[in-house]
Amino acid sequence: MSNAFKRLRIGQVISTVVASGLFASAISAQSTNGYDRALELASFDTAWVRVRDSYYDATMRGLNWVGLRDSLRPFVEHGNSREDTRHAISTLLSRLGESHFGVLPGDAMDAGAAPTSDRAGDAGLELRFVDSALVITRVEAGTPAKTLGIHPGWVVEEIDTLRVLESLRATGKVATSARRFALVRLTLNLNGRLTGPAGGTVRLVLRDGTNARRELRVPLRETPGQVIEYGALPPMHVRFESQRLTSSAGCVGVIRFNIFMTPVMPQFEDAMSGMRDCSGVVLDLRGNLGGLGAMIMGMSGHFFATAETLGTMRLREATMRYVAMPVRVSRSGQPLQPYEGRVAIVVDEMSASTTEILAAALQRLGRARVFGSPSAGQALPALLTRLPNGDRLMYVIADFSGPGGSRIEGAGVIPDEPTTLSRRALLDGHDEALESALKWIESQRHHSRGPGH
Amino acid sequence: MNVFVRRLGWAAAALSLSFVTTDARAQALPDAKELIAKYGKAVGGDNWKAHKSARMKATMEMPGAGLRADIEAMNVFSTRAMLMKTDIPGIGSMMQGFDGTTAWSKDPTMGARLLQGAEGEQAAEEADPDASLRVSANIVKSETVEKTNMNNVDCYKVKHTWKSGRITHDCFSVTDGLIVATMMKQTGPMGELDVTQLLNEYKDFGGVKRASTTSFSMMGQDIKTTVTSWEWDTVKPEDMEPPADIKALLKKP
Repeated sequence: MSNAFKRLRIGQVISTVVASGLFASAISAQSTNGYDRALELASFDTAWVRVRDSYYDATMRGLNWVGLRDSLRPFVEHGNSREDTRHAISTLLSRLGESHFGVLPGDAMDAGAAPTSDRAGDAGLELRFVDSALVITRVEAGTPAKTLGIHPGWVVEEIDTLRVLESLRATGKVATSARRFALVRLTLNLNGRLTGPAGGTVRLVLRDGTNARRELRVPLRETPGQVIEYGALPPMHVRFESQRLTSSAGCVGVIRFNIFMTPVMPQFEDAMSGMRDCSGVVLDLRGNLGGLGAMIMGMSGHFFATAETLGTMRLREATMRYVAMPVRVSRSGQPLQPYEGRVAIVVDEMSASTTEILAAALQRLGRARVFGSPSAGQALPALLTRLPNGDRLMYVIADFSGPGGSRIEGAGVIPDEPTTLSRRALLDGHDEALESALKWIESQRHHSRGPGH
Repeated sequence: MNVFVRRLGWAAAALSLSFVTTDARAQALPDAKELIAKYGKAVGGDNWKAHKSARMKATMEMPGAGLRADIEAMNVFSTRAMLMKTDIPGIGSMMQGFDGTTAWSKDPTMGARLLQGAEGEQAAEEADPDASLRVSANIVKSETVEKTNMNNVDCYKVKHTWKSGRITHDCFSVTDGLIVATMMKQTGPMGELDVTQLLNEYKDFGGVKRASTTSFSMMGQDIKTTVTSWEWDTVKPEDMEPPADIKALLKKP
C-alpha cells in the first residue's frame, strides 16, 4: 500500500484523545476483591515508571523520585488491601503538587462501563459552597426536585447519611496550598452524591429560605443527555442547551454544556448558526469540568477569523500549540463566517481544565469578557492508563500556558467582572453572574462589532 | 502500506543509538540505491506497480487508555488520490484526504479544513504511491548514514530528503532488506512531533509483502496497529468522495 497511509496522523489522534478534565475524578472507590500483593506491587511500580517517563518536567520538579519510590513502596509490600496501594500511589503523585494526577478505582470504572439494567439518574440539582454552607445553586425545570418546591439558595445539611459540615471541616485540615483543590474535589463528590439509579431517591436535609429545616426524599430522574463511552472512562452524559434571549440589545444567545466531548460540536455549530444575528453570545461554562482539549480549536474557530494561538502544551520532548481553526463552512457545506458579535463567558470554581483553557484563551486574546468567580485552576493535559491491578492511573503529560505564556494551573481564570455567589440573591431568583454577562452585552450595543448593529 | 504509526523522537534515539558500535561505524556502508532496490524486490514492488488502487483496513489500539479505532484507507495510484478514515468510539470519525492537488482533513474536534504549508506538502508527497517503495520523484536524495540496530534487528539507516525539504529515515534490515523502523517529523496543526515506528510481521498481501503490525509509544501510551484486510483494485470513484464541507472548501472561489 502506498506511503499515503502514513497520513494516519498519530500525533493528531493522540492530541485529540488527550483529555484535560476532572470528570473522572469524582469516581469513588468500591469494595475490591481478589487482593494479590504481586499485582499491587506491579501497579505501584508501573505508576512510578509511567510518571517518571511521561511527566513534562524531566527533573520531576526537583523531587528525589527514586527516594520517594523507596519510601512509599514498603506501604504496598506490607499492605493488605488495594486501598494501601492507592494511598501509596496517591501520596507519590501528590508530591508533584499538580492537578490531573490520580488513581481511579478500577472496580468503579468497570462497573460504570458494564451493561446494567439501571438507568443513570440524578436529582437535577447543582451545589456550591457559599460562605461555608453547601447551597443549591440550580434546580432544573421539570425535575421532581422542582416539583417538591426546592429552590436555589436552600442550604444542604445532609445528603443521605453524610453530614456536610463534617466533610467541610475535614478539608480545613488540608494544607492551605492544597485547600482549593480539596474544595473542588469535595464539591464534586457532594454533587456526585445526588446521582444514582433513576427511580431511586436521595435523602436531603435542607434549610429553606426561612431557615426552616426540611427533610425530603428527592426522586432521581433519568439523567438527560447523550450517553457516550470513551476509552477507559465510564459512560458519560453529554448535555447541551442553547437559547435565544431578547433584550433591548436585541437577541442574545446563551449556550451551556457540561463536558467537552465531541457530541457537543455539531450542536454548538447549529446553535452558533442560529445566533449569527445576535449582538452577543454567552457561554455558560459553570460546572463544566473539561474534556477533550482539542475541541477548543474547533470551538474557538467560531469566534476568530484567523488562526490565533490559544495556548501552548509543553511535553517533555515537544511543544504543541492549540490553534483556533476559523470556520469556513457548515457541515452541510454552506459558507460560514466566524461570529463577530460580543462573547461573554461565565465560569465558577467548578469550571476546570479544558473549560479554563478556552476561557483563558478567549479572554487573553481580547475576544471574550469573563464573568462569575475564579475557575478551579486545574488545567493540565493528561492521559489515562490501566494499571496491572485494574485501577486506572491519570497522569499529566504536559504543562499548559495560555496566550502570553502564563500558566492556568493553580491560578485559574480570573473574571473581568467577578461575581460572588450570594444565598440571598439565589433565594430572590437571581443568577447574578449570568445577569452581569447579559447586562454587559446590552451595554455594548452601541459599540458592537456584531452584524446586528 | 509502510507506516501507520510513529514513535516519539526520544524513543527513536534510545533505540537507534544504543547499539551502535565502533566497528559498525567503521564498516563501509551500502549505497542507499542498493538498499532501496533490495527492499523493492523483497516486498514485490513489481507486483505493486501492476495494480491501480489499494484498500487497507486496520485496527489501532491504545490498550492503556482502553481505546480501539477502526481504520480504512484507500489510494488511487493514477491520480495519487488518498482517503483515510479513522473511527474512534466516543470521539467519532477522523478523515483525511488528498485529491491529487489539495490535501484536507476533517475531524470532530477541529472541523473541516484544507491542509496548508508543510502539513499540506507532507500529505501530497506521501500520497504518491511510489513513495511506498522509496522510488518517488519527490525524494530528491537518499543516503545511507549508519549501520545500527532498531526493533532488535541490525539495519542500515537511510536518510531521505524530500522535495519539500523535509527529512525522513528508514532502517533497512541487513539480512532481508525489509524496513524495520521509520522515523520522521510529523507536521500537524499543533506543531511537529518526532515519530519513530517499528514495523513487524511482514505478510504477503496478494503478492506484495507489507508489515502487518506497527507499533510505537508516545506519552507513555503503547499504540499498535494491525492490518485486518487488504484489497487491490476495488476502490471505486464514489469511495473517494470527500464529505460536503470539504467539497465546499475545495471549490475554487
